Amino acid sequence: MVRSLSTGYPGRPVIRDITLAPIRSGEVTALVGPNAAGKSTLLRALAGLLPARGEAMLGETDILHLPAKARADVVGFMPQTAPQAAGLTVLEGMLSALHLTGSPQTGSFLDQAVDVLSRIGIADLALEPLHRLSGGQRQLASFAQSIVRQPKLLLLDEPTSALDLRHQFEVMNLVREYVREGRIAIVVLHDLTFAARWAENIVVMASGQLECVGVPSNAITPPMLASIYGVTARVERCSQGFLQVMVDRRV
Amino acid sequence: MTATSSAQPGGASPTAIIQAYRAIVWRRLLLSAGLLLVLVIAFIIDVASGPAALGLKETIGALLDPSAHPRPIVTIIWDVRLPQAVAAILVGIALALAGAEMQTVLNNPLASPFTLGVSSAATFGAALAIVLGIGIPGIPQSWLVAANAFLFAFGSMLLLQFLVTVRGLGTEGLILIGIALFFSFNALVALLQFVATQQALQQLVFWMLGSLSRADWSKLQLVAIVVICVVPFTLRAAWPLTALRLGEDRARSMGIDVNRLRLASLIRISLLTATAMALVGTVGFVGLAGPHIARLLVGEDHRFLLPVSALSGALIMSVASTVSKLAIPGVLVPIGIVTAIIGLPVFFALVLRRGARW
Repeated sequence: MVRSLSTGYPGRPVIRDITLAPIRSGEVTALVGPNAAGKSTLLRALAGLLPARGEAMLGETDILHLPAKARADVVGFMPQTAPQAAGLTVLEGMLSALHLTGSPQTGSFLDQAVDVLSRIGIADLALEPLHRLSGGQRQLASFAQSIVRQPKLLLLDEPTSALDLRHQFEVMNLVREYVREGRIAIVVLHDLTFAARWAENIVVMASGQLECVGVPSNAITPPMLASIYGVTARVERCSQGFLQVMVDRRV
Repeated sequence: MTATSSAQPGGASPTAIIQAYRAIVWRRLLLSAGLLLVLVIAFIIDVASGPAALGLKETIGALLDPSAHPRPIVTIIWDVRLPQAVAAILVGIALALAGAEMQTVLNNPLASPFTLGVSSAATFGAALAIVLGIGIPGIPQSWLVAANAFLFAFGSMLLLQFLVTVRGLGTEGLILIGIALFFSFNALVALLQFVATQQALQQLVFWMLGSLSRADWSKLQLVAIVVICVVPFTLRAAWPLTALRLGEDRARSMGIDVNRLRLASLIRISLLTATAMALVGTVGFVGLAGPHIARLLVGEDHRFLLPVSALSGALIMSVASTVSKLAIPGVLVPIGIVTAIIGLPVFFALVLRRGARW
């Protein structure tokens, strides 16, 4: 539950006093909206990367006011971009995340890291330096770093932007399976059809405000698309029952 | 969460990956031990080399059992050569370690004490003492130049730290201010050179070239204390520094206070570089080449990168010290010239090898 949250950059407030209803454990929430809506800013504030006022409760804990180390134990963040020149291997990146915590949950840190890589399906890349990976592989490695500490709240900033169709499907499938174990994921996405396919809740943002919150069929509607995105679009269900957004023209 | 199907057919099993990783760790440990052994050999050769032709056997003997050797030989070894050889090692460790940390916290492969204007500040401090005789009141004459060099090098780093802490300057801003400091201090040094007497100018140029011949046991003690006190803190920061290579956002989301880490690093870098430069003057390329050689040998896991950088820096300095004595018979070439000449091809090779990534 987010209450009266305000955040932004020095001299440039982006989000003012937003309140978001509680998100249930086991659900994926997609943050959508046009460019510069404040989606990434909200995510960064929740991850503790930007100073913020208000509160964000995760269970009984206000994550906005947790010390950085304690927050890192319960909140995992995947940035939009990963550095391209890092000479660390995929496994070393994950080990550095784990060694910054206390002691291993089960077995050793090494076992824990390799287990996560196997589950994501990139065990073959474990000993590859990050700079040698393709953009998509680097994104998968970044996802692995985000979940290796098993955080309760997972914040993902456009996790599928560099991935092909199959890996987009696999990453979101992993996110969904990950949250089903009693966790919460908030994911910034641009593709509304994709968001409707994978998220239980949609939060639409524009100009630093929450415009609309609800299940996909209530949040993603032609009037919302016209007023927020400035496009005339149809929202229809496909033969599989998933919502499809089809843009016809600018308003 | 269950496994997905994206692993390639014939992909490595978890056990195989863990074994392969452990093998890499062992290889790095062995490499570090090998480098240490090479350093010990280079150190002995450094002590053995010089105008007075002493053999390796005689040198080792005089080192291990001074009482069993003639007084002149013991004096040459213990009072002339050993302080210089130890200084080479300590300065190499200090500069390479500072360079490695600097490259990581500034996220810039070209960062070194030169990049941030630290060496120029040290030179200006030394020039003030040499040309105008200005120094800290109460400091003995023999320490005046070293104390000034330390004061200005440390002061320039404090200024940069102030800008990081108070003005929230990022890495790019820090490098730009460093470049501005570099040019400003260079201009001031040029001005002092312009007004200097012939004798002071000669002395200043010699200082700027870097030389181990200024090392004596009392100054060495000070450098040793700084290195011994700083190194444990540097090694303790190995994991946070490793995580920083994943990007600032990632590191902060892992719970690292990046500003604090950067500040602590800058303090360590200031102490190491200022002390090293106060002892030997400006010595180039060690702070740049040492960490890059280490990166090629052991990668970017800072548990290995930091110690191997220190060993590489010490080795470069030790070899350069020997070369500086043997290059021109009867002449001790300033070590700054030798490290620059040795460093240049190494540097070119590194740039060409890693060109695609820069």
